[in-house]
This record gives sequence, C-alpha cells and structure tokens, in this order.
Amino acid sequence: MTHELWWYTARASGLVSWALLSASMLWGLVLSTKLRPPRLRPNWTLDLHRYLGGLAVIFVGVHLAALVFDSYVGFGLAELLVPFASHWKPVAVAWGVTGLYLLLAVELSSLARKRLPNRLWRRLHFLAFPLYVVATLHMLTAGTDARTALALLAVAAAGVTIGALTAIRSQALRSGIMAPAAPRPPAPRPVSPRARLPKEGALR
Amino acid sequence: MTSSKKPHPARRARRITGAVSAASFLGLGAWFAAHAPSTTATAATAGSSTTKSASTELDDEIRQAATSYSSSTASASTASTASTQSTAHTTSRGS
Repeated sequence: MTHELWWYTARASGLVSWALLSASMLWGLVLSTKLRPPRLRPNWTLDLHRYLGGLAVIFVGVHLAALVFDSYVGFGLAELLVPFASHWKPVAVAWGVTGLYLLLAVELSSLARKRLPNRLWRRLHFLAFPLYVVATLHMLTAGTDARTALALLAVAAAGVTIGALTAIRSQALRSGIMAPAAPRPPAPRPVSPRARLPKEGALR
Repeated sequence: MTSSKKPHPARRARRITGAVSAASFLGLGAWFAAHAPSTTATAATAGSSTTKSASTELDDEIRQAATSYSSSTASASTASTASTQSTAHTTSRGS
C-alpha cells in the first residue's frame, strides 16, 4: 500500500503543480496587461502571483520527492535531474526536467529581483512562457490522468485564456501602449526635520 | 474579547489559495486511491511484474475453486459409501 501511496502522491502533486502554475501565469498576465478589475489593487495581485508561484514550487518538490520514494517506476536523482536519463517515457520525463530548471530560474530570479538589473530580471521572467508550455507537454505526455476529459478541458481552458492574454499583452507592447517600465531613478534622500531648520547662529 | 477586524484581502486570498491547493491535493489522492483500477491498468500497460503475479494468483484461486467444485459434485454423485480414497482419485483426475 505504501508504494501506491507515493504513486498517488506523485500524481496528485503533479496535477496541483500544473494548476498552480496556470493560476500564477494568469495572475501575472492580469497584472501586466492591466486588465484587472479596479477592486483588485496591483500590490494584492502581485502578492497573490508570487504566492501562487511559491506554492507551485512546493508542490513540484512534493512531486519529485514522491517519485523518488515510489518504487513502481524507480526514479533516482539522476532520472529526475538529467533529461533522457529515465528509461520510463524518456521524452516525457525530459519535458519535466526542463520545466524544473526553468521554474527554478524564474523563481530564484524573482527572489533576487532587487539585486538584479531590471532588464536581466525581465528576460529571465519571460522564461515563464516556455516553462508553461513545457510543463503542459510534460503533463499531457507523462501524466497518467492526462487523458481524462476533465484534465483535457482544464488544459484547453487555461491554454486559451493564457494565449489570449499573451496576445493582448504583446499587441499592446507593439503598439507602445504598455512600454516596459523604465528603470526608476534613485529616490531622493529623506531630509530630516532638523536639517530644514536654519542654523541657530543664522537666527541670532 | 474577539476582534471583529477583517483580515487583509491579500492575506485572505493567500489563505483561500493555500486551502484550495491542499484540499485539491488530498482530494485527488483520495480519488486515485478509490479508483485503483486505473493504476492496475497502467501497471498492465507497463508490463509490471506485480500485475502478472496478481493475475497468476487469481488464476490459481479460480483453478482451486473449480477443482473443489468438481470434486464435491463427483463425491455427491457417487454412492454414500464411497471412501475418501476414491474421492481423492476423482479429484486428481478432474483437475
């Protein structure tokens, strides 16, 4: 029963990871296209976008751990980290390994955003698009439950929505409506109230 | 004294998202466990030895049940004075 438990854990965490990645993509696009309702403030949307990404990383970790402990397929660290090292569906697993590295690049660069140049962070963050494509391919080719009607419906709905938002965003970028944010100038140094007062000698 | 202060919307969104994710994970796991035949089908596709041994055991059970049924039928049809040895002989033949 124990090895079956790990197999169920791997399948469930994989599906939840994909759903969280989709939700994070959607929130990120809602934030960047500025199509959000006025009720949703940008900082709340950004906070939820980051939280969804973090949750997706956690569930991917659960997915990998469950695959290591599962004895049915027999994955080791090499099969999880090296593309085409797996004897079980090598191409499908390679999609997942590639997605893992892209996810780490996106998440780690976001964590270190304040220390990175804005242009570099933006380029790294654009890896989220190939990440989503690769994760969806991994789910469809390796997933045991990918052939179910519900899974196919979810993939189609998420794909259409994300594709439409991406098209809107790229169109707006081309037309110059939403130009990429320019690097912010350094904020003026705060002036203490005492510094505003004239010197004591000047008053006398 | 309970404070009636509402949580911040961002914090509430985080809580809801986390709860929905955990519930989905547990629900999917339970659903997979409840619908175990899908796992068996997958194992059969992959040529798992577990399925093979399980099917062999099932075949043995069916064979044993058929043997015991035939022996009981045979012993019922013979005379009531038939000895245990003759029943055993019929059984070995029937199987």
